[in-house]
This record gives sequence, C-alpha cells and structure tokens, in this order.
Amino acid sequence: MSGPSIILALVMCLGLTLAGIPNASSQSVLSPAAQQLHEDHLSKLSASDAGQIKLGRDLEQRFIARVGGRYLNPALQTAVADFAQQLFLQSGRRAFPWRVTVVNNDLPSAWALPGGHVVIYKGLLRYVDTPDELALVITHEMAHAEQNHLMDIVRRPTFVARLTPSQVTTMLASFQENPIAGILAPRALGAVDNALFEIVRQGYGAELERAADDAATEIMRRSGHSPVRGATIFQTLSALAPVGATGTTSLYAGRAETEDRIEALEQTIGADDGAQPPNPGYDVIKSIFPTRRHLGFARASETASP
Amino acid sequence: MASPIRASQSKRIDRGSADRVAASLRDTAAAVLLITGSLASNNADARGLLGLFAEEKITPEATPVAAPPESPDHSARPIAFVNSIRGVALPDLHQFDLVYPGQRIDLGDDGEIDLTFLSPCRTEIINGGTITIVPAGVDADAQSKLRTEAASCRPSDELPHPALKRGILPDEGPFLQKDWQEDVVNGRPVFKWGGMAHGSVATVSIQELDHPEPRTVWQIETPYPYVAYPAEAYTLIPGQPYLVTIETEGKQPLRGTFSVDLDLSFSRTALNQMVWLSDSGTDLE
Repeated sequence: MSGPSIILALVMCLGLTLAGIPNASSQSVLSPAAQQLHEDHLSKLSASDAGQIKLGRDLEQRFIARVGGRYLNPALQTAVADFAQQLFLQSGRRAFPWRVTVVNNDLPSAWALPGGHVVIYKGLLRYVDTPDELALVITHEMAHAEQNHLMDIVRRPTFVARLTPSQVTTMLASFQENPIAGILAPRALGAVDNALFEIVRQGYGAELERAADDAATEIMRRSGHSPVRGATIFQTLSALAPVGATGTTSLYAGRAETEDRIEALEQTIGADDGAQPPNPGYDVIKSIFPTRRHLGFARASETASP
Repeated sequence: MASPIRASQSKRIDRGSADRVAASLRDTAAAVLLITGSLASNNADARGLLGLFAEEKITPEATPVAAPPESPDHSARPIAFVNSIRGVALPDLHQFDLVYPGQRIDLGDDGEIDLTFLSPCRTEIINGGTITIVPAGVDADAQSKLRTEAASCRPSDELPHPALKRGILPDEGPFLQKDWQEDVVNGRPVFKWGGMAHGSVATVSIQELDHPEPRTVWQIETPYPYVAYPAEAYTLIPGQPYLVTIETEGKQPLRGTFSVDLDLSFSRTALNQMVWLSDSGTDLE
C-alpha cells in the first residue's frame, strides 16, 4: 500500500461517521479502483459557482419529481419566492441563480441543491408559525448550498466507501469518457444519483448542520430576521417526530441534537431585538397553509390501528 | 370524542330519494360555481363542476339492464374516469369508477357515459352501442355516437388513487409518508370507496382534526360507494386537515385525511376532487 493510500485508510478508520453518511463501516478500506476514483476525480470536483450551478441543474428535475413534483398552486409558489427573495439578496454567493420550489409532499421537510435551489415541502409550510421560522428554514438550506455541503461530502473518502464496485466502475468509466476536470458527467451522476438523493434529504451530519446554522444566523441578521424566534421551528419538528423514531432530515437532527442546536443558536446571537422585516408573501402563504396548532392530532394510519 | 352532530348536517340518502338529492345538488352547484369562479376563473370548468353532480340515474324500473362488462385488466393502469352514466344501469360500473383496458361497456340504445381520459387529458361522451376501453381510448361500434371535449386534468400521477401513483414517495428520517399523507382538493371533495353489498349502508363522517378534541362536522348515510360533499354542508376551511371515515357494518372502517386548497391550478371536475379510500392501499376495484 502506498503512502497516500495508508493515510487514506487511516482517515477512513478515524472519520467515517463524521460525514454523517449511514452504512459506512469504520473498518472499510477502499479498493484500488475506489481509491483511484477518489484521488483522481471526486476529490478534485469543482466547487466553483459554475460547477455547483451545473450540478444542481443536473439533479433538480429528477430530485423534485421523486419527492412529489412542483405543487400546482402558482399563488403559493409566487408568495414563497417573494418571501425568499429578501433572504437570497443577502447571500454571499451572488452568482447563484437563487430560487425556491414548493413540492407536493406532506412531510415537514426541506432541502437544497447545489447552485442555489431551495426545495420546501408543502407539509412543512403547514407547521411554520412565524416569518422568522420560515426564514430560518430557507437560510439554513441556503447555507448548505452556499457552503457546497453536498460537494464536501462527495469529496470525502467516506462517500466512495459507500459505493458498490459497480458504481465505482461506472463512475471511473464515465470520467475516462468525459475527461472534463471537476465535473460529474451524466453517466457518473446517474451512477450515484440515489446516494446523492439520500444525502440531500437526510442531511450532512452534525458538523455541517451546525455550520449551516451559523451561516443561516448571519443571513438572518443581515435580512433583519431573528434566529432566536426562528429556532422554534426546530422545537416543532421535535414535537412532530414520533417518540423513539430515528433518522434525520436536512432540517431535523433528532431530539438531543435539536436541543443542542437551539441552545447554540441562543448563545450565539443573544437577545432578540423584536424587530420585524416586511416579509412579503408570508400572509398569502399562511392563508393557504394556516399554521396547525395541535401537533398530536390523530392521523389516518394511527387511528386505523386497533 | 366526537361532538353531537347538528341535525341539519346529518342526512341519510336512500335509493328512492337519490334523484331528489341529485337535483338539489345540481341546483346548488351553480351557486358554488359563482362563489368559487373568481378563485379559479382561468380554469373553472363549468361542465365539470356541474357534471360532478350529474348523479347516476339509478333504479329506473323500465331501464334495460345491460350485460355485465367483460373482465377489465385491473392490474393495468386505469385509462379513464366515469363522470356520469345516464339512461342505462350498468351492473358493475358506477359514477366515479375508473375504467381499465379491456373493459367492455354496453350502453344499449340510449345509454350515455361521460368519461375523462387521463392521458392525453380529454373528455369523451359516448351515446349508445357497445364500447371497449383500450389503452389509447375507446373502440366503439357503429351504433355509438362519440363527442370529444377538452378537459383540464390534474396530473394523473398526482391523483391520490393508489393505482395512479407512479411511484411511492420516500419516507424522510423519522417522518413516514403513511402518517402524513393528505389528499388535497380545490373544491368540494368526492369520497369513493370499494363496492357496497346490496342493502348495506355506509356512514360517512368528517372530523375537523386540528382541534383540541377533533369534532365531527358532517355525517351522512348512503347506500352508494361514493358521496359528493354537498354545497349546503359545513363549509370546509382551506388548509385545515379533515379526517373522513367510512363505516359499513361488518367491515373495518376506512379513513383518510384531506384538506382544501382553492388556489390549486386545475379545474374543479369530479376527477380532480376525488378522495379515494382503500383498506388495502393498493386498489379499490
């Protein structure tokens, strides 16, 4: 085993779980092909604005279709876009064509694609209770895009470690066919489509989620929103998650982690000044999706059980 | 848990009064069109809305009963939706049913069926003769008269019928789709469930869920395997979650959650307002 490979194996042993990628064994050692894929290609993928925008564009139609497709309410889409615009204007990635899509999915979730596409589920809009909560949802997801979190994960050896030999072979072949440095060609993207879909929806691990919280705090400050008031959306998600259930989303990191995140947000930003920015579109959003108050109401599948 | 139901909100439909109820619903449909028209003026489909209440003519004693249709292929994707049937009693086909490839329908001399095809979206009204449903539409004999009209369909993969959904949406972390699934309509919902044994009655009730103690806001009894929510019933509040329960003697209750979004950009046809209820989660037929 070469020097760099030994270092790579050590990195694997020490840090597999840091990336927040499930199913990666801490005992894994990369195959020669996987090492080649990581060292020659994935670790060199571009985090440039253009590279991120292209990656997001390549994924958005497929991913949005898989979670239910665009919700067919033009008034709602416009209202959410109007609301998000005030936040997009505060982004440090000005070259991103920032946009937001509400999808036809009843789960309380949201995520973002590289290049500046925030995706919010209609189910989440039913439980967002204040403009600050919605702003925190959007800015948290913006932060994942701003900080290239998906690319960050793909560049790690832990990502290659979860690929099957077939996926590795396909990706290597794709890079040989399309030797454009730093870009995932369509065939390579197709080979890891499911893995990327899971990462985007399940979140990026505690380290990157905290980083997204910090960046969201800054964007909210600049736009005049209160992260303290916004952080109550994390409490709502905790209340909505079934007791004892496991798993995370791009927004929800489990009960214990959620409490820590809220505490960290409060310590970081201090007292709430009570000011409110204009929040265009918010009233329209709430006229379509009034906030649901009784989080524990019986749902169909639960009441159907004996 | 349920609060008492106001007398005016609780009704029983019997077969003898079906036509009277249908006439009443047709009258109120025009008023609803006026009220809701401004909310969806671009695409409100008056034929569809009124058609929603063009109730199936049932039990006219003199109406000839056609032969049962040939076995349709229920494993295939449904082709079309039955808006209405007039002038003929079809033993195994009712208003708000879906039709499948291979299904043969004998309309006799004067029977008429109004079908909305899912892809490409269109409505076909067929009068008389014998038709067979095929993947591309309808094969009709020389006796049949066909009229095709434009329609505005909800994307078929968004329709909440299990047989129409192309893919099952993935769960996400601790949030499971089965616990969160909620059908959304942009008008008065039409509830449809599996077949009813002859002489049986289903009790349909609707509870307002987002309430300290979910309360029943509407209830009705019906001998049919469907019911259209009437205009004069409790006004459903947009965005609020409602639980519909279908109780039939000797069967497990069927339940589903739904809500109303008046701004959804498809017309208010019966097809677009359907809330299908199933105990198997696979198919209703």
